[in-house]
Amino acid sequence: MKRFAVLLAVMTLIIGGLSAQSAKIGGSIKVLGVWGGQEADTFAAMTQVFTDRTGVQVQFEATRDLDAVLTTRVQAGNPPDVVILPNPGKLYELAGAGKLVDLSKLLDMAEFAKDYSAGWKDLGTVNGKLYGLFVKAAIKGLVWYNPKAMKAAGIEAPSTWDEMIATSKRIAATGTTPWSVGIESGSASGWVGTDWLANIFLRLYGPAKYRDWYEGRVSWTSPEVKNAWQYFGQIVGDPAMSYGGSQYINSTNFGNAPAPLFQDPPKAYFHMQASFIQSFITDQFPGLKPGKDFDFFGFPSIDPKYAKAVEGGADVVAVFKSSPQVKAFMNFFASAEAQSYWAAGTGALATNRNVSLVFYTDPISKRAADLLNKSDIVVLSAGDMMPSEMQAAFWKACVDFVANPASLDQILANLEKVRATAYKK
Amino acid sequence: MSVVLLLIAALIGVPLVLLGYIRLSEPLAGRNPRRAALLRPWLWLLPTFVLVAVFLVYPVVTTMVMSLRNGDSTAFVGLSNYAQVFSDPDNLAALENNILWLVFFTLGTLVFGLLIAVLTDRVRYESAAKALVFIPMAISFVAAGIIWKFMFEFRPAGEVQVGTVNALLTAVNPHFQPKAWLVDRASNNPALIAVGIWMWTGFAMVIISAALKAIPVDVIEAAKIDGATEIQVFFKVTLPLVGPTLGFVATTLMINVLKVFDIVYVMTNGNLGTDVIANRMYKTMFNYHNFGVASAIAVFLLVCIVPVMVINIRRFKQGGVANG
Repeated sequence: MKRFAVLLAVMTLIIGGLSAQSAKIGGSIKVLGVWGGQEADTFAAMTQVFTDRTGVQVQFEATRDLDAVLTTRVQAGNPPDVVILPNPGKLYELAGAGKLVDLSKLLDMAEFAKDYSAGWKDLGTVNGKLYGLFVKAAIKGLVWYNPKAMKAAGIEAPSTWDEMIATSKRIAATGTTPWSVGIESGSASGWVGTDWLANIFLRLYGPAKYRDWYEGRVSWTSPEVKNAWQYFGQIVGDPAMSYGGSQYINSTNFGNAPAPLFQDPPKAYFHMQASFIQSFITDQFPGLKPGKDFDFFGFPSIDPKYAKAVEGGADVVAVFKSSPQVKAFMNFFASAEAQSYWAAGTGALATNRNVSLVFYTDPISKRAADLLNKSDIVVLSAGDMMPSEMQAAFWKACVDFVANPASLDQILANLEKVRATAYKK
Repeated sequence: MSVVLLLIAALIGVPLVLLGYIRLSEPLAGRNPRRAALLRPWLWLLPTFVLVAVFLVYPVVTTMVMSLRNGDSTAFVGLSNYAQVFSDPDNLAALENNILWLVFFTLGTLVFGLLIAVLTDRVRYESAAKALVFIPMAISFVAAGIIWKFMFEFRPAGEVQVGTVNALLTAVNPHFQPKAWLVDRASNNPALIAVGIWMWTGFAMVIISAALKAIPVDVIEAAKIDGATEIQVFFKVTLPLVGPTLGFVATTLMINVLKVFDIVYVMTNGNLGTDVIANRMYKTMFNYHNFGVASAIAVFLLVCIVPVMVINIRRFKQGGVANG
């Protein structure tokens, strides 16, 4: 009976393309990821629809230490059916090692081409095969501010780096620190710094050079890379520029770092962070209205040639084991219907471009989603694209740099040493 | 539901299987009573040997083999992984920190444990005081790390200090400059070690206290009649008598401190010069996927721990603890 049901389900899937609507497949799939809190709730609501429709139970296992859990399970020959990775570096490692299933064999590719831009497809492709489906995106490098405080202080949103530094210096001269930065994040401390550097590098040298950099073809000790770090140092290396100085930056969790903007009087005016920080702000300050009490402007341009590039981040879904259940799940997960769940107030953005903007419940997410849909060049955070050893060293380097900007040359020499071995695998 | 089943299996199933094994193994011992008496202990030990072989010997041997192979265990590379362990500056810095831990954690825990055991020995509220000191032992390292991370929380000078340590210090001394304890390179290692001491003092205290109680009263009375002061009694009588116990506690602490991982992983993840060798092993294994070097670190750690363990077992055999 069960086997018959599966057969029926497979047949309807083949005949009807994406017709999970009517097929009761049954069974279950195991999904591993890092999502917790609101993300996990949203995912649960999304998969509930899938389960009601297909009868397939989705067993979601969440861990903040995905690297360790995944390594163990892959080594033991017991990987989950589906994994949701927080960065593509891991995807490339797994795909390169031949552990993943080619998604073009699972997904309805005609539908996929309609829903996802070529940029997302390229990012998920390894050796000509599609291994990663990008979901739940964020735009990185947004500068957040408190519009009321800005107005009261007579400050206008800058559009170039030099303007931004000039404005920051003017604020600093009044005795208030212009920036609030926090890069503590448990075992990933420093990643916020790598986002800063990625945004600076991208706007200094453009996407081609940016790619060379994360693919390991640019020396860390080169003048270009050093220059990017010195830009970053203009903000984190000067205690008058950043709230609490280096001790605060290194000891403050990234999620708490926007708080000084909303104190009265404000302790800082600017905060650089990805679009997802919105949910952190509204969690800590439930009274704040997006667009009115807090807002963002895009990362200022440095070289006007590269002003249009957008740096994004996204979780990426990969498949270890193929089955009719997994196939149905992946097609559902990729659909605009499922992806529209992110839009409803999580601060996350859908990668599926057919998710209507009406799903975004607040003006800020809507603007961010629009920005993402309209951008031609989407690059992901350079750190996320590097091999994990390089990324970990890059995180650590940011922590060391904030603690002691004067040791930049030594920090870069260390990174260069890691580059020599990390890319070999 | 599955928990209930598991409990039933553990409570009824395990003894049943053991009894069954003993019954079924009996024919193997043979009919000759003398031969059977010789064989029986080995038959009964067999399940333990199998378990130890599967869960201890096999992984240790595999780790040793892996430590001689490359990153993904596909080729033999000789001792080059070991060369890398001892030439990588990050590993060397971690080793230095392990030595810091070894010295200061062990001494600190021992001194505080002894001090509290002696001071509470003759007060009425002894058990309450000791329970208080022992409580941290019941907390997991990860939880303790998180608790202390809150305690060390930093806010710039002039702000409300939400971290207990900075709040206390600024309350006592208004001129005190709040400090990011886990970030400042001068204070981060001591701060982490302090957390370790806080957790383990209870363990040292309980064992030392038991040894103190075991000292015969007449020995101390004899010393007092001979005119010894309290301090002389402590240094000339009590301390030598609890000496073996202190040795046992010290070696146990050393074994634990060589493996220290959780506190560092949770509180600083080894940033800003706080890395320890076990954390390096974890990173090399799970973040960098270099199984060869990670195994080499594991083997090195084992080699470090073995002598301490041998000392501990010897002491145990001599009955050092029981005699106090």
